[in-house]
Amino acid sequence: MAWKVLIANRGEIAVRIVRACRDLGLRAVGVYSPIDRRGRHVLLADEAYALPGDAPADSYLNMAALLEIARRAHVDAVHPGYGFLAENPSFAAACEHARLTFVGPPPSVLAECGDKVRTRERLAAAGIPVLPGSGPVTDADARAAAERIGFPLLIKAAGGGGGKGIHLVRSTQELPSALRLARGEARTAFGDDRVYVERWLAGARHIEVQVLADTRGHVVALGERDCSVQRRHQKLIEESPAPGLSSSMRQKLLQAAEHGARVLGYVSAGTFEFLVDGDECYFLEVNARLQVEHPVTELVTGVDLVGQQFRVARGAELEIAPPVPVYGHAIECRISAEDPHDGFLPSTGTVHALAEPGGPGIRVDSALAPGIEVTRHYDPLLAKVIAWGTTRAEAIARMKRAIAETAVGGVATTVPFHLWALDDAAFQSGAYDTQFAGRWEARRPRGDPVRAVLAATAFAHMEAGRMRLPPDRQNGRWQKTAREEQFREK
Amino acid sequence: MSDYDVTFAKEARTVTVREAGGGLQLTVEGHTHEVALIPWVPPTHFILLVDGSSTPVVVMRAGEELRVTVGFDQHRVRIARSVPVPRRGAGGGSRSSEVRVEAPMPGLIVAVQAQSGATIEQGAPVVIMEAMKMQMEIRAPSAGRIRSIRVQAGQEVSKGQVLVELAAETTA
Repeated sequence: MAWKVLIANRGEIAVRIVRACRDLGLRAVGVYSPIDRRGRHVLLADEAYALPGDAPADSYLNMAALLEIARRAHVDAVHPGYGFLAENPSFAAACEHARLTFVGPPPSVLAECGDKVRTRERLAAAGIPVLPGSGPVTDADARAAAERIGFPLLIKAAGGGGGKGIHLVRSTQELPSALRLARGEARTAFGDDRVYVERWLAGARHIEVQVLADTRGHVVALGERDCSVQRRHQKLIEESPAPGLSSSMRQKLLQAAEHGARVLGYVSAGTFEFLVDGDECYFLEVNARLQVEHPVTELVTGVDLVGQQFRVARGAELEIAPPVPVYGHAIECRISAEDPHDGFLPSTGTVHALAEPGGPGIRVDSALAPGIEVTRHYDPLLAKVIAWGTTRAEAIARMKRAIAETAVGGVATTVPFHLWALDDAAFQSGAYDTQFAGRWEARRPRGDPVRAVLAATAFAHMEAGRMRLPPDRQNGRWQKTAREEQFREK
Repeated sequence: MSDYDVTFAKEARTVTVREAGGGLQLTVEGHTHEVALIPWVPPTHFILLVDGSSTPVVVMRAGEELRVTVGFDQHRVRIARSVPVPRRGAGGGSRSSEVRVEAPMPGLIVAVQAQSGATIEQGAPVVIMEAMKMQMEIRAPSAGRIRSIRVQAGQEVSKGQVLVELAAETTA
């Protein structure tokens, strides 16, 4: 009988995993919170079961409810996606205990990688360079550690990744509030408020290496991804190969990642993150999960990473061996419900309608559907547009076309940021670093203001037309007054 | 025929709208354009046709303002029907020293840092909010005394909701 997989996640990644199940002839079981009941991942799955509440603790972090659904639905395996329980060793162990295959690294590896301070120490001992940093610190210790390491630095959550719980500190004065926010976010996101301090390099590039490892000791690196376009430590654009990376640095990174995976006894898909500063590279952390930006690697290598995760989870050998050839260039733009014109603050509401791009070289991994609610409970990522081209220039041209076609009606999204970035000379040349997205705030307008005035007037006129009172009811004196008041200058 | 007062980049101008054969004729600064605003992805995305040339635009209402995005630029436009009704009184009243600290995003109040009656400095955190797993300090826009606290920890708030009222220290 076909393997049956519970997908303990939501949104675009749940849709991605359902698709892998379809391709491999596996049966997909979805779960959903009340708000998500009409979600695309629910409609596409073979079966779907309700979770009791909307808050993450009641839904996609609710281990007891998820395991109960797994039991009732007689599933063989659990794929956690990314975020939520993906890197939670207790959940992986609970799955094993319930005789369910956890599609990811074993609990011991998750525990190891989840303790970022320990991973840093182990890989440093294995000869992989790391940035100066501390162990977990109390608020009282943080100051001394910060002064030893030097500013600028980052406060980082020891218990998890994904950019949550990371705060930049430029001076001692900024330390208390950064500690408070980082601990608060870490507690909410990972249930662990331990933080540590790490040196920060302005002007460096964030480059990561995708690895796959099986249970028989085979490890393979599948090229790198440049993820330097970030805001508030949240990635916005990723690409592979990293533009302008020397082949010697590429070899160094791939070898460090493969070596690190062996040292840690890594299994399944994972990502080794590095900062690259000139001729130096420093290991940052392991993301012990499938990564949001995995499609760029899939497009340049032709490897179905989720498919390989399933293969490894069933105890089979990897089908690929190093060196993995890379063909062409791929870029991903994240479409998130954040308003770039309002400090990238979250935008919530109902998606009334949408237009998703297509055409040559475009892949869309999306959870969008008309009528879905974007709420504050979950991550703002709505969809990913991934473009492939034989060259980087072709991939950028296709991405520009695709982003211009993308529209989400009802919430503000990161689309305007991408239109700007793809058109920017520094991005196009490939000579950009982690400071790049900061330039968005200082951009110069290039649009046509007359068109904005005409659009606003036509919009207001249409709106007024819908609200206009019928003529026979305009006679009452109070109505006349009310109408006048409505138009009175404020 | 209707006139609209359109304020854009601090400049006010009048735009005259004529409905003509299913379309609109808009006159601004002596130039008349054939304009159509065709819903593309409702309720926010339109195709703007100006004298036959098309541009995708996004129009969202934010309180009294329209936010119009053309390409990656966003323009904030205030627009009102021109009606010859004189302005009543001058200004918005005498309580100009009262400052309302509003929620910049919908979310959850994690903690209230400010205390009612306390005097605080400009930039002091008053409330910590959380949305989509991101926490944010909402800071006092000016120095002053906390007049009232309108929210408590654990409460959900919407964008623009008043969190704290502050009597600003010095105005005038």
